[in-house]
Amino acid sequence: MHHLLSRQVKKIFNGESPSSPEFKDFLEVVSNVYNNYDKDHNFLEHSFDVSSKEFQELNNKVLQLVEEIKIEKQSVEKKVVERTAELKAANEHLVALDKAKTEFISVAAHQLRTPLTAIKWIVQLLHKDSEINLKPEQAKQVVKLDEIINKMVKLVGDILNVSQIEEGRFGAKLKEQDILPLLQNILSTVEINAQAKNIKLIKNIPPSLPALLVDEGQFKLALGNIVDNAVKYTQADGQVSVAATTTADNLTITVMDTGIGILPADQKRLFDKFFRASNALKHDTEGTGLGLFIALNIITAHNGQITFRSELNKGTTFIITFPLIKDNK
Amino acid sequence: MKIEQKKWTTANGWKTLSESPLLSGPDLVLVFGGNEPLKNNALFDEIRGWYPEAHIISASTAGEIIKTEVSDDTLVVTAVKFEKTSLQFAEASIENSEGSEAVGKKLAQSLPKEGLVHSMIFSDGLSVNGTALVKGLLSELPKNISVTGGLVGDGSRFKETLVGLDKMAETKKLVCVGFYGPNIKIGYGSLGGWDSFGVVRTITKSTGNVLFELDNKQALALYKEYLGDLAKDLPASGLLFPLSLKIKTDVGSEVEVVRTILAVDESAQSITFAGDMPEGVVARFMKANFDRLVDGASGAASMSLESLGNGQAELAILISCIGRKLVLKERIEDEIEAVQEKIGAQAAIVGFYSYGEICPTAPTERQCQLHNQTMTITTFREV
Repeated sequence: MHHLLSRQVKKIFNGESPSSPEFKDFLEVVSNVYNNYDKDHNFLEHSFDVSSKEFQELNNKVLQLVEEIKIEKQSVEKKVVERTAELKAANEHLVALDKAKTEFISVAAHQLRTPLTAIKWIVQLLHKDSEINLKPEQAKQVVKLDEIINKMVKLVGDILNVSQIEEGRFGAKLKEQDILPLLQNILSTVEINAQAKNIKLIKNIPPSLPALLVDEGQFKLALGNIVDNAVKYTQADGQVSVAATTTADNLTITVMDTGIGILPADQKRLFDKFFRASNALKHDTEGTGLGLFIALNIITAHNGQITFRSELNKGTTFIITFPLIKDNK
Repeated sequence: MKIEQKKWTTANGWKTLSESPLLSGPDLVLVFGGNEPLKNNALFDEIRGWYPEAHIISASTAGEIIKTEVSDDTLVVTAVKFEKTSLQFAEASIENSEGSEAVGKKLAQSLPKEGLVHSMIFSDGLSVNGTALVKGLLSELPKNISVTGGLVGDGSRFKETLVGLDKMAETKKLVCVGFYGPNIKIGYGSLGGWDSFGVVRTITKSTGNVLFELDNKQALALYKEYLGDLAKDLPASGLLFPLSLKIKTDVGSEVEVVRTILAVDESAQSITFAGDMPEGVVARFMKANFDRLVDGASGAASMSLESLGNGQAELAILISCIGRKLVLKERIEDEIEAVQEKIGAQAAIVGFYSYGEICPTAPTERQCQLHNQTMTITTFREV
């Protein structure tokens, strides 16, 4: 009989429990229940101990993993610091190299400009001096030479401008200027090229325009590049129109052509240095890809904005906006 | 439906439990019993003498259920006279568990399909992979027909399980019965009531229903560690720790099924379960809680009534897992009483403790599963 039941029976019956077989059977059944309860209890205790041990092992594994991750993290952080320092040093080296390159180009362009000016002067002398009698064939060669030298002068000028932009020495000297004569000057320059290709140059310029704060030379360079491009990339018998409009705050100059247009894929790189659109390359092999880069920098330095829209084989429109002088409002 | 129930015990011989005897011969006689009385020719002859025309299905058990009583090494007899229902029977033998799916197909093929409403299977409990058997049965049955039943038992001995149709019960045998006609209504429900506990494990080595490793460790060693002193009572004591598996069904949903031990192989360090133990599946030990087990039985009864539709059950066949009996011990009749409370005293209750239960996972579903550690109930009513 289960020891607890035995004790309980003794207590209740004062040691004299009933002796009937039914009572004995009953006690046996109850005793079995007590025993089974103990067995179940011990069994559960044991299985929980084993389970708890398993969880402890798992816990230790997790803690170990956490420690390993911590060490790994520290190692990664150290590597990041080292790599960052290396990259910084490499970057500084590249910046220095780039600066040296820009300086070299600047010096080289300067050095080229002086002899070029001399050559150009001599060529013009050959061309214009009536005392020098050139044979017709020689005169033709001289004209060709003059054209080549002009292109070289423009290229050297562009390179010098880009160097100055990159060195931060391009600084616009802004002065209050009457814009109308500047625009007319630009248009008269391109008119010759337009006529040569039988391109109709339409001018929608009002008789009077407000004065702006501009650097005259840079303004002419920027606008000149854009109008020049319009004529260059429009086929013979096409049309280029230049319009100027004013609002309360801005003067807007619109240059619209019926030219070759710009491929959508090329549009986002249009103002990048040395970038030339793929169809422009086919159309004109001699461009430098510097004109629009210079124009953007100049316009930005004038607190202006330049945008464009273009459709392939239909044409391109550039919209350039400059702020009006506040006192003029 | 008319029902007559009798019980045989060594001590008292035959005793009629029903109030009024059957006036005409029954169609079906269910005989569930311990191996010894089931092998007794004289007892079988007596039953045959009472019901000369009936089909007799006999099955060995790990405990007999009749009314609300649970007993061992007895015979419980339930003779059923269906008034508006016809029955068809199929039987087959199996050599080893590899043939389980094929034998399932064969049984289902043998049943006529016209007018079939439901089928019940009584299968050998030791040589069959229950998962494969169910797969075979379902593949050959019409899509709207489901199966309930179980793998019969052999106490906690796990030595030989017996099944018979119209003859003495024998080993490696399966019997299937089909119920036909528009007037028979059948409901089913199956619930366990075990709680998962301990760490979540993964089956890392197995073949069919034979398990070798959990989390790359020997599964048998793990069971022994958990069982402690009770390890010497394997495989029976292994029933105290069923495994809960999360498996994918053929229709893609995830269901939780419970698997219990059928046998251990010390030389191979393996454990044989009643159904598939697929590699990669997540498994967790389960433990019993008395109240939850009894609630589970009650829940299974409610489920079976839900699918039975309006009206009271006339007959309930209970197939409950031996694992529950091992845990509930003296309290085992608590779960039968809980079932009776739900289905009502008008219903004749009969059943047995098994090595595996077969039933759809939900009363509205056909897709059935092999279960373990559940109370599985099939209820019947004629309209």
